[in-house]
Amino acid sequence: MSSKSNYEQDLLLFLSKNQGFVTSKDLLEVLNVSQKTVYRLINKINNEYEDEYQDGPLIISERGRGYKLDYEKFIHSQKKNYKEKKMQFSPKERRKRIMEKLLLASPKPINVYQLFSHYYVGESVTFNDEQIMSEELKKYNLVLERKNRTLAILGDEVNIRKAIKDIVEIFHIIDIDDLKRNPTLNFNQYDVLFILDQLRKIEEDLNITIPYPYNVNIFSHLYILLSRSRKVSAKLFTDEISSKEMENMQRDILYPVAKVIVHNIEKYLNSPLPDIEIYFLYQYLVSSRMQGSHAITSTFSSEVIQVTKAYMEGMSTNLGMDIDSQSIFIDLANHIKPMLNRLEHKIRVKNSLLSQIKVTYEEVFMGVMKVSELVSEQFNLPAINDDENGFITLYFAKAIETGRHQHPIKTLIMCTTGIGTSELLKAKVSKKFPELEIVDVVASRNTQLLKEKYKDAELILSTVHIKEEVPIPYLLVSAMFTVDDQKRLQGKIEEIYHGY
Amino acid sequence: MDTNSIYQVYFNCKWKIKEEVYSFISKIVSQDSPIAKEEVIHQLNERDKIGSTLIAEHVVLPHIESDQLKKSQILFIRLANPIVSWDSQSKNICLVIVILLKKNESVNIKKRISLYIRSLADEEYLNRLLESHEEEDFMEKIIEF
Repeated sequence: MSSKSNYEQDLLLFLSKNQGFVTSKDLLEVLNVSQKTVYRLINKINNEYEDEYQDGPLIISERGRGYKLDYEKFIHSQKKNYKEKKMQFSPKERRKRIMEKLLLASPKPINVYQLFSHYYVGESVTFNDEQIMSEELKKYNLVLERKNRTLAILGDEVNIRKAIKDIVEIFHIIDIDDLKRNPTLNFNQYDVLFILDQLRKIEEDLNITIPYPYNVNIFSHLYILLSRSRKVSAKLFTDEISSKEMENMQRDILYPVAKVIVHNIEKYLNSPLPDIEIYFLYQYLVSSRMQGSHAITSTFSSEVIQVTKAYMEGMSTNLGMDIDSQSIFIDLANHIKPMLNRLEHKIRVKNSLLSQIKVTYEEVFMGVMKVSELVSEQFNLPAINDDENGFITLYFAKAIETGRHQHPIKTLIMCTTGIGTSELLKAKVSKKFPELEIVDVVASRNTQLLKEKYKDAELILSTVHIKEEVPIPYLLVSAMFTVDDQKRLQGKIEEIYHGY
Repeated sequence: MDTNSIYQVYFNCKWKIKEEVYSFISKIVSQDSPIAKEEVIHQLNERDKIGSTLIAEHVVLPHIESDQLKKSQILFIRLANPIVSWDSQSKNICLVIVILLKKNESVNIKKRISLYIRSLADEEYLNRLLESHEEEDFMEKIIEF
């Protein structure tokens, strides 16, 4: 995953998050690369940008200050990126496209000349590409076979589909509505409309909505199913499932839905499909997070409850804050439940927001990664991948963000008379710190009485030094309420919320 | 100027140090009672000791509550030339807003005063006060609040 283009992505994301200049030291720490690499990455990004737009560098550098992203250009180029690219292929893209072709046709062999002639490459390049593709396919337990100047990919249907999904980039879209509108994605328009229709049917039948990324996931599954079935006779699929699993499936309310959809597809394709397709689709449905009446359950299996609790406990200690609200438990458990199923059936949901999550909630993500390791060890689960960790991160990030506004901190504001600078401070503070609830403005004369009169006060903001001991946390600020004061107050607030 | 108003404006004042300003304040509020005069100056200085009253650049807000005061007032002292060194922290003071609160003042007046102080949190308003160089204009700005 640590390919060069990923570094470029991370670098751009990090710069886009920081408004001012960022030193190269910061960059090399964040990306964990050498000074030289940072320098080269930036040069490369700027050169590529210049080639395309010819209006100066995307990343501005200044001696002694570091690097800064020209945000306007950045946004602009991000938008344009989706537009059609030129018909030139890098070696990587070439291999991807050839692999896609072979995967869709598997197990049928394709003539080597037919595969490569389009790219005008020689014998040695062809040979080299074969080696690299072969390596790549090993990850999916697939074999690239060469016979009489033909190539074929051999292996289990499940693995072939998984490889297709990972390799074909158009399945990494975020917005499913984009499929209808965006002609550059190169989908078969009829297939797209048909599948979207089936998705809607699933949602209607179950009275639920299937949110991103699960909708895209099911979409990709069905699209691949269509493409595969057209090219390869169903009889060639060799996968088998145990009768016990079949039985289990047939008892589930999702089963009839999967059956109807597969039946619709048979009609659409005008050819029969093996029963295993129902099982495949069923697994995708079980592994999806659903929102709606059927979906909201508060009864979970003991495994789900235990895993969820393990996450909440692990993250509590990791972040040093209490995470115990019922709402996050139900949300998280509703995610964990299908996740356990995904892990068991090796269904991978691509998390397109992963790099952004990693940068925005770095600390939380690292914590989740650690807890995931422990969880998979403790519950004897397959390794939990970063895509999943990214999703889980969002649940805790949400808990942290909302937690900030949940209970306002009861605050007293103090000066000598209780009317001069404190009144002014009150106005300034309530404008800038909505999380503080200002209980009263008081005079500094009778600090000892405060604890009795305001039992639940959590913080005193004062424009004057308090000489005596006060049993309530207090912060001295200037009546100007400068930026520095605001920063210190922010720190104090976090201290109160997190209790350290 | 309406002498009964709680707002009193003194324009174009030519003092060069804080002590002169405080002495002036004590004179206008204590009506020739030397005890009151001393008490007011003492209190103003005491307040300064425990924390700066600088509320924005060029503006200080000294404030006291005292039983030596006959009535509560807000004084605006517009300096002709900035006081370069008001105290160790506050430089180039152009405007002094003094809050004088009579001991056991009625809730009504207290409310009026605190309402006005809150308006000072608005930086725009403070800037408009600072930028008014004519007395009438300045008065209008105060009333405008």
